[in-house]
Amino acid sequence: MPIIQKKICLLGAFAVGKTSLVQQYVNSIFSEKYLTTLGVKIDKKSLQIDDTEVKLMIWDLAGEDEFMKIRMSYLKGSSGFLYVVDGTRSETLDTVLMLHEKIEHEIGSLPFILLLNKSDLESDWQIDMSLINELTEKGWQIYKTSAKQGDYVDEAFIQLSHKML
Amino acid sequence: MYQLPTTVLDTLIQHILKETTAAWLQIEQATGRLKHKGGILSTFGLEKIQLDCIVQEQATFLEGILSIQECPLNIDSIQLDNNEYADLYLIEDTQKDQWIILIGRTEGSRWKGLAQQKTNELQLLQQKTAHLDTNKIDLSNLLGILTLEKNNDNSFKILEPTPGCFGSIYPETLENFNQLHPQEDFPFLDHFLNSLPESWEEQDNQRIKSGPWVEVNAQN
Repeated sequence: MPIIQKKICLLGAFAVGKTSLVQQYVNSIFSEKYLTTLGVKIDKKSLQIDDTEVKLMIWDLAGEDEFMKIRMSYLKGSSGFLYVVDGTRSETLDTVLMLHEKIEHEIGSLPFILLLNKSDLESDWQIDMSLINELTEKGWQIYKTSAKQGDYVDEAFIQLSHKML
Repeated sequence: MYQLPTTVLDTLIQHILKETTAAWLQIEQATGRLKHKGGILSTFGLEKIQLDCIVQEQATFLEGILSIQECPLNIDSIQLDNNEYADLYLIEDTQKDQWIILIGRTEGSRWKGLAQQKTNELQLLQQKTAHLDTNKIDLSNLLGILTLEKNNDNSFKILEPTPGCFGSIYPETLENFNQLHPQEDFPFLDHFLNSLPESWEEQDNQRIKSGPWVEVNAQN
């Protein structure tokens, strides 16, 4: 079976659940405690897509805020991105939209999926669903995920792998 | 860079080395095999790394770094397989060998992490307070109301965040919020929607209420 290695990056504001999504996907674990990510952490997981083994090298990058900017050099060599938004914080969607624009300009157009994370707290969501609908109409693929419960986490990684092949 | 006398330079280097934990790997680029290694490898969880073997196969972070074929590369505070932190430099020499240099940063990263953690927690608190200040109450969520708008193709899209209870009542709202077909899952709704054109004609396009209704799924 042919093996293909792909680098993907999880991007988004701080505390949206990027590390939790990786931990849920790679190790099937979740921790309630919020621990900020420093710099870069690389994990890997293999999956089978049709007749190909895809080895995902998953780069979990420190979240973006007004003081810490994601270094574009860390994104070089990527095959795709998972943008992560915390549904309970509308500001985090603005961060993703800004990041996406910057990446399209500096790195180019690559496959991506938008994850609206914390779907287990959907009753507390603050994001503007009309904006989400607009993005869907523009062709953005969007999943409502819960790193806590594991909802649609595997599906998101698998779908991104499909898009990268 | 400013010129330094050799004596000063040597002293500076000795001082830096005394304060720094470092290790290096020399990799034959054509084969990916480890040619030489040195420094305090155990700090970086690389004490068992083997010469003449493929470097990528010996640690996940090395696999991640070397698989993307980007050289030179500098990463500040990469978390290693042993959960220590290092600054990582990947460079290429004139013989086309690649070198990985690791400089220990665990102590500094702990302090930086603590500061960043407090900053983030403060920002989260500020964001929550800002939402409270606007006195914005999400009535849809509070009352458990799902608002849908009909698309031209008879499907529906969700206009407001879905109240939590709908995740179990109508799981499709969690996965497809732009093209739902609730009339296919709820027969009463199908009947109600089909009767709407006639009802509107009779009632001068006024709001039509269905009244309360109950659906029982097949498993129950």
